[in-house]
Amino acid sequence: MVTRVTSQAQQANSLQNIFRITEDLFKAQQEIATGRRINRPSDDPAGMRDALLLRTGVNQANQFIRNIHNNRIFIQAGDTSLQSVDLNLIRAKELAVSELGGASTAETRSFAASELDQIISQVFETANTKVKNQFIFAGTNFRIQPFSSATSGAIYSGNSETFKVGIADNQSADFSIPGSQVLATDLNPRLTTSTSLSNLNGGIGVTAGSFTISDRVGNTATIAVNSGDTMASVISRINSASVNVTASVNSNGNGLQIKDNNSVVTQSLTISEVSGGSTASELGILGKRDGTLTGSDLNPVLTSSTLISDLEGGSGLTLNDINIVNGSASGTVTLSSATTVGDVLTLINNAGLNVTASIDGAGNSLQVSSNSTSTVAVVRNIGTDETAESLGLGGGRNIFTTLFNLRDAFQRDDTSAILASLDNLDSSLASINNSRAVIGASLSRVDNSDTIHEQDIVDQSEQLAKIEDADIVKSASDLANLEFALQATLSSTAQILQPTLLDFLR
Amino acid sequence: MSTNVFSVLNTAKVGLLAQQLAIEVTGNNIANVQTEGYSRQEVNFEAMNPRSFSLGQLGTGVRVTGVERAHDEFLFSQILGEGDSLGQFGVRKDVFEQLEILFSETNGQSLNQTLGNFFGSLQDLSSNPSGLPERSSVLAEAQNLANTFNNLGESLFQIQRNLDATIDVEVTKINTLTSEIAELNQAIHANEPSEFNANDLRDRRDLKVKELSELIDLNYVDEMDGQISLTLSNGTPLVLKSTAFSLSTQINGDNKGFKDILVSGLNGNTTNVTSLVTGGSLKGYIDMRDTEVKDVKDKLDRLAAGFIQEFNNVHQQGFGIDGTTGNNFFAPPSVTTEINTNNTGTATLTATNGDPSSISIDKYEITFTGSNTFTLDNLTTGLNEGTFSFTSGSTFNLAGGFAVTISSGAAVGDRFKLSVSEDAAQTMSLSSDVSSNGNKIAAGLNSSLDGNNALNLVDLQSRLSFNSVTHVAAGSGSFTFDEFYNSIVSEIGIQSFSTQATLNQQEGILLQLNTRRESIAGVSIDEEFINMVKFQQAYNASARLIGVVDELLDTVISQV
Repeated sequence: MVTRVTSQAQQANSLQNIFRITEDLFKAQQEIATGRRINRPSDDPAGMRDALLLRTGVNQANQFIRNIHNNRIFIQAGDTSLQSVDLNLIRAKELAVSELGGASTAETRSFAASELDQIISQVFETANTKVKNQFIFAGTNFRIQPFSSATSGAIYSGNSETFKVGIADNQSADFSIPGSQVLATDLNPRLTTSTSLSNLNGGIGVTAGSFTISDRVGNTATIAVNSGDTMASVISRINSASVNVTASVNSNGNGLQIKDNNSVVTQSLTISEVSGGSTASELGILGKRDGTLTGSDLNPVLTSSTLISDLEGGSGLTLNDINIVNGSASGTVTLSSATTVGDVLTLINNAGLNVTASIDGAGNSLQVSSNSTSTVAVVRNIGTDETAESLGLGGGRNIFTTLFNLRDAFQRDDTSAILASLDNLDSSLASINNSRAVIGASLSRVDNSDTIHEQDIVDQSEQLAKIEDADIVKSASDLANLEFALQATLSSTAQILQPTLLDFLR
Repeated sequence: MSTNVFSVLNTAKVGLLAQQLAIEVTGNNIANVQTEGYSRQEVNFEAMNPRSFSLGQLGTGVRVTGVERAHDEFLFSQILGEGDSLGQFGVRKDVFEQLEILFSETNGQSLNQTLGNFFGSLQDLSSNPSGLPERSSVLAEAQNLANTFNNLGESLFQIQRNLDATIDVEVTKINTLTSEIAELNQAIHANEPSEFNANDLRDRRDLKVKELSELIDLNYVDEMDGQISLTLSNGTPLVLKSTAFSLSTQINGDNKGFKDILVSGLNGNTTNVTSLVTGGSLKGYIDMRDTEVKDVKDKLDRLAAGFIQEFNNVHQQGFGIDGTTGNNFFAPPSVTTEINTNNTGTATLTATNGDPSSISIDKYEITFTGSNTFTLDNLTTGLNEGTFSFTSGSTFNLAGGFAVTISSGAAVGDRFKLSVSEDAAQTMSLSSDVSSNGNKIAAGLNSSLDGNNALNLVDLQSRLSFNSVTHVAAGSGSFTFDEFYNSIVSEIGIQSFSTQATLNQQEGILLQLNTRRESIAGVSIDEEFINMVKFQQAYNASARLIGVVDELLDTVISQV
């Protein structure tokens, strides 16, 4: 039995074939026109997912390169600046050596003092270098000039944080070093309950006033703060208020922390100012949190009651001996017994070297000056110990103290101070070179990352092209094949559909 | 021996009439060569009862016993069976194509790209935390991201709404077809009193049934009296002989106000058959609306809600230039509660987002087990979260941060749904704090000056915040935001791809079946023409016989 082939079946079959071929043709044309093999997720679901991931990867790598290129200048400027400081220190050392020579007189030393003034102002200029309108040695306090000159020496107003930029996934690099690590000292005392409010915010203190706390179930209390309060009194006032919270010094030891104790919560813990005040903001706790509110860095200044163990953000300092030269007097002061900054000052003052030790104007570090107007007190490290440097008294990173001491020694024609300064000049030079090595390492790390990302982009783009780009040659030959198939189908359809027996029976 | 010359004349007469009828049927076949659903008809001839005479029996000519249509019942039921998959997958293909266009990175809402741009702007901010242009750029990119989420969410909802509206249209189509079939049943019954078939009416009914089979799943029952009955696969009747049971739609409050499908019964009651429909385009529309598009939308909502939560949590840790901390960057999503329409108790439930930082973004359902106890189901993961008791009127926390208050009067079995991710993509927006004041963007971590919190925000891009289903806390998942989004896109791709493949296959099968049907029931002009010549020759021959008889009579008469 032969299958009957009817005209409707022929028509349906021909239509289906023509539609199928034209659809394939359309796809092939689309591939060629867009240059992409994947135009819709269903064209290759797994390929689409990979393509999206790769595209994200390329974008990220591009962003990291952008980060590096835009900010690499911070590292370069840091290096250039330290190089200039280095040259200035070498010149200062030359002057010191030559002024110790037999031909030097009080007059030549006074000329040397003037030259040293020039050197000092150059170093100030360098320390206040700006890149893209940001001070590079100010830590993250970009907008404030970090170093200013005072009669007793240089005052550092930056902070101790480093400027970090993301250079790879979850990795950031230091793009600048705070001045307190390379050119000065910031003892950065920890916030304690005994810190009084007037010593917060770099010594600016906290304006008296009130703020409101709303805990997480909606209880509200207003806390009044007086300018003479200590942290302990503020904390106990918050804890005894009619809100269910516990205040304390945060775990970083630099600000307040307010923890909500409610087991059922319906809203955020909110702290707001009362009638346009600024108390909460100055205490670093203005805002809200779904949980424990950690306040910002309150930057307390040094006081004589500050514990040595609270310095360096709470990690403390180990104090040993320092050497002080003051004119003909000279001696070693043992500081290991000191528990507070006040103890250190007393030990130095009572050493019988006719010097006065004090806290500097910014509340960052200590300083020692001679009680006599004809001598200069120079404080030195003993051997490899760094007690003098770490307290900001002299040597190492305390570049400005070293230079100021030398200038004063020239002015006062104090040769023993000039001689003592030579040690500090050497250790300062070594410190600058160390810092330059750190910066150099940073630069090479960043450049390395840059190269890796560049290569990454090439690799990922190539992979992306393999996944989603159309193979034009293949698409074109597909297109040609399909066109041929269409022609063939159309002409055979024309032949099949026309004749019936009618055409032959006439 | 007795023959009758007039009997020969009669034989010729019935032959003439029979062939004439056959030619008429052939003509009708040719006329209907392009009629959809028409079955070729054939005339059945039979020799008339012979008359007996002394030498045995002598034929008396031909008679037509019937006009029959070429029809294969088995093939027809196969075509019906394949029709419902064709209808269903046709709808799926169309909707998946819409989804693909929506999620296409080249010409759709490119969330992947927008997300990348947003994190890029945060990188720029981290390297210049106090820069105003950087802050404006973060705000602009964030707005862009929120808009993209809004558009995607809105478009998905729009697709759901369009599907919902189409269901009404489909129901009308189905009702028209069932009532036509019922009428045809009646007409066929009325026109088939004898053994003759009402061929053309049956063809028309078959065509309607076939059309209906693409709209809804059907069971086909041949009744004894030429009528048919149609039921859904589960036995719910649609047509019983000459009675059609119409479908209707009804808004379902538990399903976002989308429509359920009801069928009326003999006693006038209606039955909800939304979940009983298993095939046809109607099933396609219901599935896409309530399952496929809904799943995509839910996943996108979870992505949005999870992103908002993770981002805000990190953002809150930082400080803006103005010294404030704890600002939300995106507005935290609010709680959507849904009361089950079948609840019998009087309890009301209010819920707020008590702790946006740790609230679970999954969908939950509370089912009361007593007046002061309930069990909590996580609808997203399908897990039971345990049984809880409460004091009516007092607020308690649930699932990480819902602040829930339930009034008294709960009846056992009453249910409420809770979710913060419902419509989160559509409603995502920047918090009013940040959008009005770029200085509140918390780039600083320890103080307002550094860019370390911006770096922490950037790190979110590679944080593993999702498992394959939903958001998990503290980066303990296995997918990043990007990857979770990509999985949505590739999931749509895979579904669309497999739907297209199934549909192609289904179309192929139906083409084969239709070709088979055509080869049995279709009209071949060649064949009809041959038949026409055949019947014409036979007619001529019968006519010739009359001439011969005439001559015979002439001969006899002239001899007289």
